Amino acid sequence: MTLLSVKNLRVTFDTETGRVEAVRGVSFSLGRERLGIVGESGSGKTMTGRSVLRLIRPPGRIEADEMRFDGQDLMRLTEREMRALRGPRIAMVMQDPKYSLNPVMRVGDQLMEGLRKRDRLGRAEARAKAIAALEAVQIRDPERVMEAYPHELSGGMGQRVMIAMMLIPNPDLLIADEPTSALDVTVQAEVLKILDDLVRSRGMGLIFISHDLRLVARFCDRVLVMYKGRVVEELAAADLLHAKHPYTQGLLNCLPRIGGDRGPLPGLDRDAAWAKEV
Amino acid sequence: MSTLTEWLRDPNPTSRRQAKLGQLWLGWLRLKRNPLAMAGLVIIGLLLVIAAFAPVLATHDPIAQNLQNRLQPPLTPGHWLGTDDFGRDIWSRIVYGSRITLYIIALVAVTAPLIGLMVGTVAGYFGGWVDAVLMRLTDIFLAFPRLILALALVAVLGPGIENAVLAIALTAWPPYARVARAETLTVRNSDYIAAVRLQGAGAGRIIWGHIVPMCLPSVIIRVTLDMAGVILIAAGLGFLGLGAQPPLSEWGLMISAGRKYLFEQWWVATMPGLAIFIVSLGFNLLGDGLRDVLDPRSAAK
Amino acid sequence: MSLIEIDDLSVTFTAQGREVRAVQGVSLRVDARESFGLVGESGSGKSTILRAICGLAPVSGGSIRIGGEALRHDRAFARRVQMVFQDPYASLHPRHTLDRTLSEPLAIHGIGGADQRVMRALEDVGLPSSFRFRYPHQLSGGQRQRVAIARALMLEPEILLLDEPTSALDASVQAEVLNLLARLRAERGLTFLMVSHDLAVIDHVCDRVLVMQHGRAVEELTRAELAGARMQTDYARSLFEASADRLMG
Repeated sequence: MTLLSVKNLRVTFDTETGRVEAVRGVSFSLGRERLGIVGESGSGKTMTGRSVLRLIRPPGRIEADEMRFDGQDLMRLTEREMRALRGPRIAMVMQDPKYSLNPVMRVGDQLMEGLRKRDRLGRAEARAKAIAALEAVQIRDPERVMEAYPHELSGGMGQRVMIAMMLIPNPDLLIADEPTSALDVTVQAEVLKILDDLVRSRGMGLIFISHDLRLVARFCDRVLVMYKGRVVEELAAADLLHAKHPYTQGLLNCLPRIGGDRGPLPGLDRDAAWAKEV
Repeated sequence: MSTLTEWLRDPNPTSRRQAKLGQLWLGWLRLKRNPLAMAGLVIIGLLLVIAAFAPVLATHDPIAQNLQNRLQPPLTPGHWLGTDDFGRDIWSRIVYGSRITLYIIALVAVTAPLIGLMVGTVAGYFGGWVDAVLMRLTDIFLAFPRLILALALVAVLGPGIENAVLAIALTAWPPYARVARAETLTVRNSDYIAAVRLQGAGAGRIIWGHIVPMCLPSVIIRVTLDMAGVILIAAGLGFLGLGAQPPLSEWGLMISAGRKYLFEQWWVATMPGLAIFIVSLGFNLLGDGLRDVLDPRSAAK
Repeated sequence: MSLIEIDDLSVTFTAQGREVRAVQGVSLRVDARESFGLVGESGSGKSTILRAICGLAPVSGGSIRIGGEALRHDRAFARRVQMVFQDPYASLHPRHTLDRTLSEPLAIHGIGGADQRVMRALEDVGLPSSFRFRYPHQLSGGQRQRVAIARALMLEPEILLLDEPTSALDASVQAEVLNLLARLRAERGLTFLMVSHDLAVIDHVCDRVLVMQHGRAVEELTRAELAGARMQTDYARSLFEASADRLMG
């Protein structure tokens, strides 16, 4: 059952020095599975994620032949209808909780805000749901965290709060934009496991955006590799070692490995042909 | 013309001058997109043109009196803005008055920001007691209301436009010191400052070469926005008789002189008032537009 | 006698009446031409040690000696020790052209021939000479980091301190910069003291590594011990497990 279907997505920015095309003709579809979008900076992966939620402001423009979510045409919805979708049906987790959580509101207030305003729950009920959400992300003392401000939490904790907040309304689709890139290595594994459990148990669709090809391959079912606004390869995560496109192969091989040889790392010889649209 | 634009847009400049001019050109393109900023620029441009070509644009001698012709309304033949209580043509007086306005602005714009920049960056960079002393000094000057200081100077030195400018400049520099100090405190901990310190640079080189360029955008924006205030203060001083003296056609002085006739012959005070309003508005609009262009946050992207 | 000797170093910051002990009692030795790594997670104090060497962090205990002499931050120090910073977007002055950034250290020390030296520096780090009068915002992150490396090498120092030089870069660009650093080190006989949170990068570049946590030294490992997973402490092992690549096989 297709949850999201995107055909020929284009994101263009009109700057004073000319047009910048961040996303050029990206197409994919997603069921209740995990899709990883991998690319380096400038590949357009973040813009693709934001386009689904129509979070791109002028001078950026989104164009697509089709962008359907659960039967609804996302390109045609009004801003009001999009607001109804964002949150309850499609949620987004971003990279750094320092910047994505409101620094002047307590965590509990932020968690309850959506519940009280959007779902119109009473204070006690909202609080109970918020605490349940924090427990679902394995925070051991949710009461203390409810009273804390975001800067008082560690990176991993903050990111778990972010995930809890986004999953409270039980969305069908979660877009995670580099959710673990700002975290320490040992914490990354924990947060990913939590995300994994939640996505599995709720049967959500997941778009996992990252620059880390190996991480995405471990975590997702399918992978899209993006380069300069285009999708250069689409493959199942299990087939990653048999990637055909030279860019994907280059990305796999250029990382240093513990115990690997110390000669020069194979670089990526970027071919201009990869940026050409088919 | 197109080769000039190509030269400016060259992604690989071959000299520092070309690089600098190229950046200024890009900034200009960004400013051009803001219609209000362009309106402000046009107004200031007009001010400069009128001041430069005053003898050509004025229709009469600004100080020549013609008592038979006094208090003529606007659109009288030969006096499209009317005449004042001495029969002098108001349009010509406004035109020559623009020179005085520019003189005041230029003097203040050159001295106050420079002093403020120096004090603020030194205070911010060194911190400690240097910071404390300089900031208390700044506070002392900040505490003076401009009019009171002008009164004091006039009592000592006598009235006149130079003393009015001195008074304005002496009270205008403290806000620049504060702005510069605030920027310096932010910039001081950057990696690029650490890098040049590590290379063995002394405080003078760091402050002048590295910190001041980062403070310039805020100071420039503040100068344009301040200019409106400076004009009004000068007008206020003129109004009180503390600045320009008759028969100079300083705009504030003209308003003061026209006070007596405000109800019957409204144009005597209102025309110079409109001139002050338009020029102040022009500076404000330009300052706002410059802020969008020069704001380091958007420039850094 | 080692080139860098750090004995029982402590660095304490006081902010708003509270004390933060960033580094507590850390000792290490780096020999000439060696490449030494400091690895740890955020808050481990690894970057603070580099800053203490540069005089950018207050030493509250212990000592640092370079070439057997006590640390003195004068011009001679600048010609011996230089640093490459982490964030390529913050380590170059945004309003200076590359030419200015690269020729400044020469001007400070009164070294002539700036023109040729700048051109050669750009060439050494693999940047086209046509970039000479560009501004940092006209360069990519990898290119900026190359400029930062070129700048650090203008004064021909013996010791290069590297504070997570590739953390902010894309994987493929990281590979290029790491290759560049390896080549420059071989050509100029440099001594590296490198900080990273990425064990794989450290393994690739360094001969020995000190694992740090919460400001303290946890364990020192040689490269062979790291590759063979022969670490003694639990923390070092957990770091290794989290970093090791388990995709292949």
